[in-house]
Amino acid sequence: MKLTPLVFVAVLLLAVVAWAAAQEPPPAVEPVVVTAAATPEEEAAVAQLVAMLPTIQPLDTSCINCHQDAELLQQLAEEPEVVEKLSEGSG
Amino acid sequence: MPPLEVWEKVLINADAVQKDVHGYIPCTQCHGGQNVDDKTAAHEGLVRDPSADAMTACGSCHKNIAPYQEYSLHYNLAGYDTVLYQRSVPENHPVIEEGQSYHCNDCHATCGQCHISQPTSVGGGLVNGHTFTRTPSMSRQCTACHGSRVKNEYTGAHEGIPADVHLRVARMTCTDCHTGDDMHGTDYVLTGQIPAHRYDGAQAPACEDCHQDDIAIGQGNEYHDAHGTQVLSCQVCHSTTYINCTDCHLQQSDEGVPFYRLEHEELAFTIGRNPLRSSQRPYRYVPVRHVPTFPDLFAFYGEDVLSNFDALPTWTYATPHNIQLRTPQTETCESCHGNDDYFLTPDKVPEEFRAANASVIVPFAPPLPERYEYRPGQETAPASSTDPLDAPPPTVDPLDMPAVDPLDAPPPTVDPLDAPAVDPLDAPPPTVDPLDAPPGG
Repeated sequence: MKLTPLVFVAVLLLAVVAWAAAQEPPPAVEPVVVTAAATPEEEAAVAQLVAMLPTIQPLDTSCINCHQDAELLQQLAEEPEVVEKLSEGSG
Repeated sequence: MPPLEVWEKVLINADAVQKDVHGYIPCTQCHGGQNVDDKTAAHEGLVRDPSADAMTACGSCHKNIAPYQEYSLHYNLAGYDTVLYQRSVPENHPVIEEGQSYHCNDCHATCGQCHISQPTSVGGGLVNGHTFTRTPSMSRQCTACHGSRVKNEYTGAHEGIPADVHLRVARMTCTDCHTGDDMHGTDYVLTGQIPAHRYDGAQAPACEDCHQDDIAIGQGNEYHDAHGTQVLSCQVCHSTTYINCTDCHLQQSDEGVPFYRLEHEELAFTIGRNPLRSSQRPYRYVPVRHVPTFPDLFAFYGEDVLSNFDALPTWTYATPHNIQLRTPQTETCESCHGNDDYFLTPDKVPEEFRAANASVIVPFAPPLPERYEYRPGQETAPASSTDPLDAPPPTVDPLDMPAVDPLDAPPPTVDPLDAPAVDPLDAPPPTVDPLDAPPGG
């Protein structure tokens, strides 16, 4: 019989704690961490997408090197034959 | 912009190119040639414009566009063929094609000539160091070709004529109205029709695409309410003076250099009968522009090549690119009504070209309906018994007819304002040809 007040107090405390917990904002959502490895199906799908991309090859460095060099282009430029403008009037 | 130096035309911006997804593709994969340091060897077998064959150069990625290149008027130049073949006979088509090969075919626009370089017809040259641009440059690509008419009109290059309001106020560029689907031929996917001419099919762009609320009947614009939506094209009131060209001769020099001579150019604004009237272009009146065609256009290449010249008018349906809210036509009703100056009346067409232009000539300016007074809410112009376009095209030279002043015509027997609202296009043709009316009414 002496335990009854203690049980009552314990139940009361539990109720208060439960009530207080209900008043608190929900805990922040933890970021989802994917730890499982990709399934074979997922890997196959990615491989299929990659296969659709153009093949990455080394750029044509000779072409690029020359055509980005303004001075070299000026040296190598061949002036086109000047053609007399014969047309008359708006085009 | 000033013309590019030869070396500038091929100067690339390697940094920018390498950041572009196209930078993954080796130069030689599209352009041929060889990746070597020697200039001559490097350019052996070079393909200057790989996109001339869009499917090979662009089609592996741009599957939704490249296959339709052949339907693009920019690429196939079908508009030229359509009108030149109609003016000719099939036996003469090879001669026309030969002439076109010297004078027209440079105007082919490939993918690259809108998205990488300037068009070949203006000398070519990379626009931005060989970077690929989704939207063409208005000045270096669009108006590089469309310069003498569209650019000069749109930018207000003609003295005394302001630039198009879409540029002045809204700073709009060509591609704000003319979409990729228009340019790429991909409209074919939606319509199933291969355009034969730039005015083939639905209007694109159409003014009402943006201005629907402004032009709808009953919105409080008394001019729109009075004229309805099927009598006048928008440009009849909202465009102004534009260039007209006459008598173009195609020739070659003694050295075989092709050139042309345009005999006459004139700034004018002219309203004619709509030669392309259809459900998509229902207007009775449209601006008409004289195009530089001429019976002897191909005389250098053959005799009487355009043997069916009169099959089409020399004044053609026009959509000038100098739109204004206020124009001389909008000043008063009488700016147009009763004013022959704005209309392609027979006296403005040389006698030898009247048969060709029968479908566009307006016998006389439409008079203002007697006692006409605007009533808000009126949905269409009152039926006028004196609209000259109710008359069939003249079967005889209109200038040989007795002079009739349309304003001398008798007043309508019914007050036009009491007449029920009638769409002029639904009105039965008049029983009396205005040209047959006795002088003085």
